[in-house]
Amino acid sequence: MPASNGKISAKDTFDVVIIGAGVAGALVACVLAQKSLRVLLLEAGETGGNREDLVLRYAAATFKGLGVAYAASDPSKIPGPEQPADPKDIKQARDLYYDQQGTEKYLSTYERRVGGSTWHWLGHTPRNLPNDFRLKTEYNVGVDWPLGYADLEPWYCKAETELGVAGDDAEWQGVHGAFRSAPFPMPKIWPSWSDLQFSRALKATPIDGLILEVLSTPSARNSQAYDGRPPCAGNASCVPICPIGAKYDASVHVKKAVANNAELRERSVVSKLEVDSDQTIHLVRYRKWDGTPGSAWGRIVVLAANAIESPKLLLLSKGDAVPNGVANSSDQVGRNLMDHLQKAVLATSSKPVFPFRGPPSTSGIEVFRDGRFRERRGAFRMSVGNDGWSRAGSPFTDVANLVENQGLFGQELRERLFHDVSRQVRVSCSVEVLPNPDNRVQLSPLLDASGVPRPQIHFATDDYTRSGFGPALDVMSAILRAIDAVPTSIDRNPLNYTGAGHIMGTCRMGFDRTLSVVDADCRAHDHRNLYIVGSSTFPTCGTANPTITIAALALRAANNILATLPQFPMPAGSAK
Amino acid sequence: MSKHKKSDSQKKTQPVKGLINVGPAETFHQLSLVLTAARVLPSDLVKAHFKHAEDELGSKLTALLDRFATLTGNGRDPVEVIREEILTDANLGPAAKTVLLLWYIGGIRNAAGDWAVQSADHYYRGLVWDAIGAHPPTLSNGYYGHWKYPAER
Amino acid sequence: MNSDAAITRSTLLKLLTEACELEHGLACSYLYAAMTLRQQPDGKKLPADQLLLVRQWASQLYFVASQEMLHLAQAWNLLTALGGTPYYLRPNFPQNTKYYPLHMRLALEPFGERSLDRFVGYETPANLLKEHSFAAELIKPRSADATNSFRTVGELYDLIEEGIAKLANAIVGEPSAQVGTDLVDFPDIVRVVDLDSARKAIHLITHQGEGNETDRADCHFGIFVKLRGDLLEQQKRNPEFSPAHPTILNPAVDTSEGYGAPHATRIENNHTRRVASLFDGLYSLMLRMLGYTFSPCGSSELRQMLGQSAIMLMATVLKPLGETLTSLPATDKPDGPTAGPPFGLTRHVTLPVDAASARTLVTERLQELTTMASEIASDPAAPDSMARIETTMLRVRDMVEALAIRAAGT
Repeated sequence: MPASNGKISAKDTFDVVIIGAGVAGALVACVLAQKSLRVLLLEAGETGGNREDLVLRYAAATFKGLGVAYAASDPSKIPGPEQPADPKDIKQARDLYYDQQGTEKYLSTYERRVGGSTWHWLGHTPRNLPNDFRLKTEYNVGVDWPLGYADLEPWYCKAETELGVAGDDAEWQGVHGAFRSAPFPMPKIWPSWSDLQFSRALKATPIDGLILEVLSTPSARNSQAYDGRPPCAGNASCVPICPIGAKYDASVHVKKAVANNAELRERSVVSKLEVDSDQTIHLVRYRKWDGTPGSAWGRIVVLAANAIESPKLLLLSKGDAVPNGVANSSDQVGRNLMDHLQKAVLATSSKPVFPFRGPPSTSGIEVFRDGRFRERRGAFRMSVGNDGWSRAGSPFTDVANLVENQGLFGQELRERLFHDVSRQVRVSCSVEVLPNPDNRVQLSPLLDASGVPRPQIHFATDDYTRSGFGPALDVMSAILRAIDAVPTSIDRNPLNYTGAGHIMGTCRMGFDRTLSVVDADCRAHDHRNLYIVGSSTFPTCGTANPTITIAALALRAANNILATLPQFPMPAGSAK
Repeated sequence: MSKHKKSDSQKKTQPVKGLINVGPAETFHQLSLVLTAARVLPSDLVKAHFKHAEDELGSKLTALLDRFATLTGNGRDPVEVIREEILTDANLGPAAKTVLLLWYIGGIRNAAGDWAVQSADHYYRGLVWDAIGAHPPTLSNGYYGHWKYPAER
Repeated sequence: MNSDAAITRSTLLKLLTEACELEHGLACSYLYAAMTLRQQPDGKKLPADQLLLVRQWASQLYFVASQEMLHLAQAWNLLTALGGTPYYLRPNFPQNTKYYPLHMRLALEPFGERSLDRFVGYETPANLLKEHSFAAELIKPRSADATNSFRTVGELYDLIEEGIAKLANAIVGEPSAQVGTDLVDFPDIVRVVDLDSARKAIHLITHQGEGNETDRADCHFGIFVKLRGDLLEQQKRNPEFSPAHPTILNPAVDTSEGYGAPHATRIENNHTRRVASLFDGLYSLMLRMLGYTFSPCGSSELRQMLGQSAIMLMATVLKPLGETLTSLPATDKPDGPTAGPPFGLTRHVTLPVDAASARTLVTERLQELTTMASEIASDPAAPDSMARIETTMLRVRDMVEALAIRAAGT
């Protein structure tokens, strides 16, 4: 019988309390609310403005970083790696928040707002491959997941329907053994003109004896009207914002949850999870932006605060009953931090390909995502860009160069600018990272602007990942030669990479409670009414963008929560 | 196979008339037309960019406009004036380039190296997007699937 | 309706040609409205934040129009499956109210409350007709004559579906004549080879248009209802809101009786009229090229080549040309109304089956139209966009010529 509910009012008592209104939390909230359960969704950030306002903010911004559209109304209350407490620090936001103590900096960041980082994700939803779940068994590296592709497959299908995924059934059936039991909800996003040139050239030019197939990338991006949202109009701004909602973001499921009577409390920064004497966790303490303390009681508590904030909260909640932090008898909380590490090659094609149109990427090459080589080095996924050299500041840098350095103007400037920019291509690789206990998130002694310990991060790559870059660059060079494009430069230094924004691993799942934080149902080993959802639960990361796997696991966990709830009744005497 | 014939429709820049007697705002307008080779520039944008350039460049803009007005007032081809007299000048050149980039990008580069636009409107109306056969991010002129076809250019 | 006797093949083919005319006419109406929407901010009339919405509306109209084009293509597949041939003609705008049993006028009208109201009406499912402001017009008793008894587009397709199901040996066309995604860029197009695929094709059309009981938001009906609501909201927010160019209704190059649109509005400005004439010429050529792709007996290389070139012309030339027209003056008055794409069709031949002749007709005509575009672009009155359109046409012309030569060699 739960002991701690006595002082909590009915309005703060719920069947399920969910911490974090990103894609994982929103999906769980939606599923449970649709079953008429009393659901609370707690979000540290805010809803913050309607879509048009966000877009205009982006358009007017001087520094067009990831977070500019999403500046909070009071940044000092919700500091994060994309939002500094002082707006003028926006370029240094990440390292003003992360206490970077590793030999390499951890590069990926996230948004703290209702809907989370899906506001600015690219939208790609390839699934993990069967072997991604069994690296240890198959290749003797990393660890195995406590479930397999076949276990998760039906949930992938449901997740694709919930988010609205566009893809090509014929192209994707059985890729690296990943069978599909249901068709994509929508036909694929049309490949770009540039994709077609790549595809044509590669069909005619084997690389290392292989004909590389260019596949359209499955995406949570409408190719037709879907779920009351319009089809993609090619605004080419997915990152950082879709102006029309054709790209999925989690505000969709937050809205649905609220429409089904879930309660959303935003601007509520959770500060502690209270552990009861029987090791259950019911009471969640939070502080509103204006300083008002609050608490909520749930029969079940779901932590969905992303792979940095979730372990941070678990560690912050340490106490006598949990000296190492909540759910941390394994000492794995915060450890095994992963990302996908990326390198891009920019090149000039001999013929125009018309970049800066359509989604930033619509196609990729999947063949290198699995194989025997994974015994020795990391796999990689390759993508083809439609965004020219935007990573190098194009097209502004191009016109500035032509004007300032070459003195062009008038008609000649127009023609040269079109000639140069229309031929810009980009290919990128995204290499997998193995779990390493020393790559971790801990509590820094330094506090953020709101008085909470900052996340202290140690991160370093190993040979496994670094030796993935070389072959990837070789393939990219060969691809560019095949389409008759000349690279601007190729940086082979394995320490020069960018982060994909895929923060994973810090509350990993597993069978063995001494080596993992949650089980295959995302239920904490140590506290049987605590669930952790999101990419923090990934034991390894493969090469796929994590969101659809996050969504599949979240739906599966929500289903498990429904089965588990009866074990945790409402406290006696509490009003319903 | 027939080669792509160059079209006859490249318009010659019209010589600028009587700039001696017009004010700096109109000179700015005429200068902008020549720098950008646009046939027409919207008057509200001319006004706004003039003010922005004035605030940024001050006397350098005045000097630029005076020189341009003087040289072209004699009937000299304004394109030649820009190429040979203005861009080559250590002071006037950078000012002219700032104006040209203001039209293309919608803003002026700040100390941090970023392009500070004064409003979303200016960002959207920068000439660069049309020049590269695309559109400003978040303001597509297209419909679903248009990226499959070559740009309308 | 007399549903006991089976409809004859001949009646079915006629009903399908009626469906073709309707889908085609709807596509043009939607395209016209999309093309009239402004593309640049314009002071109080269209501040930047409202421009964002307007561009969204344009892309949704284009999306619906593209689905109507898919429906037209689907109707062509149905026609050839039944032993017919693709039908691309339609009456010029404005269309006579009594021309279809729908009793609704198809017209070219700029984006606005009136046009959106009409669009909602076109896509309304039969059981919702009463709610519509056009209700009085729409709810006419159905006549006993099968071919005259549909009140909505959905009901027309119901008739067709019933007819196909009841006709003995309905599907007689060669399956190889059916057009699939390999020949044209319509991702959802269904090749009609049996009764099941015929039903699938028809349900695709009606589902995209009217939706069904539980899913109205994503169909054309739902999209237009939302668009209309959004427009009214923006008008309340900003009384000066002017999302569309002030175009004339039903522009035409020619309003003589032979042209077939006596109540159209003739474009008076000579230069603009020439641009409109170029549009009509390209539009007609494009339709005839697509007609070849969909007809049952052409050369397969040429079918593919013409199908892809036609879509390319549509996307990269006709669209910008239509958008150019809506900002060109219709009259010689300085602040008068603007023109728009007339989508005018005149008598012409369909392309011959013989590949060599078809190629000659297409490449010659494309060259003529390209020369016309060059002449227009070099006129001082031409807007900047004409130079761009000319460049694109030169490129498409070269591409078509190269493909034609290659096809000739095989």
